[in-house]
Amino acid sequence: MVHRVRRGGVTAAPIVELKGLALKRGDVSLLESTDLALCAGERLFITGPSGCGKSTLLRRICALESGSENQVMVYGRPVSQWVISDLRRTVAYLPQIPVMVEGSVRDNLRLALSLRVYSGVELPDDNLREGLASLDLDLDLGADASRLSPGQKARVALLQRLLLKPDVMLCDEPIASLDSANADRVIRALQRAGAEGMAQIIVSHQPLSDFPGRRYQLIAKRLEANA
Amino acid sequence: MNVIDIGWWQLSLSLVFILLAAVASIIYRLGMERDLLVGTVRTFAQLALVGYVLQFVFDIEHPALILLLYLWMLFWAAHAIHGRVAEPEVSIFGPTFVSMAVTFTLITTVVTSLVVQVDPWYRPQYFIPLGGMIAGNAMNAISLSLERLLSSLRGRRSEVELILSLGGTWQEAARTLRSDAIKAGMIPSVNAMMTVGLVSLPGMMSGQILAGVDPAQAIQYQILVMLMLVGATALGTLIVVNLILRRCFTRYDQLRL
Repeated sequence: MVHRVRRGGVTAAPIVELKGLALKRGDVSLLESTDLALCAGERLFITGPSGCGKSTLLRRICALESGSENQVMVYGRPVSQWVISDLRRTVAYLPQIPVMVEGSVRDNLRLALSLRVYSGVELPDDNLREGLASLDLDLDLGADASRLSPGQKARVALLQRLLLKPDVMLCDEPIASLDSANADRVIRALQRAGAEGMAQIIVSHQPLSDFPGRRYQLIAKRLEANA
Repeated sequence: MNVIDIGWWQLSLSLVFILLAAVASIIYRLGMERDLLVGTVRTFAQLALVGYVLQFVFDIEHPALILLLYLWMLFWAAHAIHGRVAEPEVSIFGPTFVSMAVTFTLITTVVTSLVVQVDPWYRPQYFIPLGGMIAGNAMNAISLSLERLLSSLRGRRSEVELILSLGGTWQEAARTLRSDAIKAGMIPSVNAMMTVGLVSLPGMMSGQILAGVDPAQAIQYQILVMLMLVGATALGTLIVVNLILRRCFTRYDQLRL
């Protein structure tokens, strides 16, 4: 079944659709054939016990994990028909543990600009500073990224992707390792991005109940909608 | 100058060196006694055998025999790399064989036909020993670079996947790992150029001098060898790293390891 969501009287076509997506780890089935659709500005939460395949699900959607590349459609096209760089520019993935490359905060925030798929895109320092301020990060752009605290790294990693304005953001446990103040900052940043039209799938073991969105639970190899 | 004939009986006295290593192995519990024994037996057997084989090939000087010997060396080099770099996810035998074959053939042929100008270029007295040095050094360089490449792909997996997830291609994600791996294979032969003559007197030069060749002549040969080995390690690692790296990613730019 394909969800069609009415937005302002217009039927919005989904950005991401799962069509019979099944997940396996080795020979063990994690998720049986599942259909799901995600439209612009929508937010999905997926909860479930650890090791149940939530992360694998996100990694399959952005094609970091191999599997049948016809079970995930983005803008109506199966992943197998995309140039993968373009797909991953459209569908960003934020892993649970933030990864910083060697260099400054600036180097990390601009990391993607050295890739061919972003040629022509520029991120002047002013944009970067504005982004840091919006996440309450009081950091010098020249600061050594490897010396940041875990909470700072998590926000720098989030900002690294937000600056690239993907249409979809897949977040794996974005606040799991953060204290409540940092978690709030991350949630507010995701909310702002969502309000501007970014679709989001957020995997979390916390309920995040005051954060609006559709809620699902991955349990017994099925994705169940929560009331 | 006459070379003093060692003779097998005197040679067996050199087993005292192995004995020394074995005693160390026992005292310090290195567990290398077995390897020392097998290694010693293999050294005697393989070299004795190759001595007869070379004698035979040199006497007959038939291209088919030289080709056979060439393939034999090639196979064992690829086999040895395969044994040293155990990799379950990606098959490495094909690429190592290809890179060994190209390096061995290309560098050896250039050396015998253009530099030494042997006639014919495949004359076994030149082609086989020069090719053997090239194959041996290329083999070490290739296995060093492969070990580096595969271990860094695993160890720096999250960085590689970060670039991929941002929209980087596999080439972009593996760029620094690729150059690190190629470097790792080339460094020994480049370093050897720095210390040669100061610390190490290479085996081939020493051998020629012992055999009564004019030192000036021996040195020219040694310089040629040093340079050709740098070329061989560069070419071998370049080919193998590029061939293997492609296989570490799927067509959808996913890391396979």
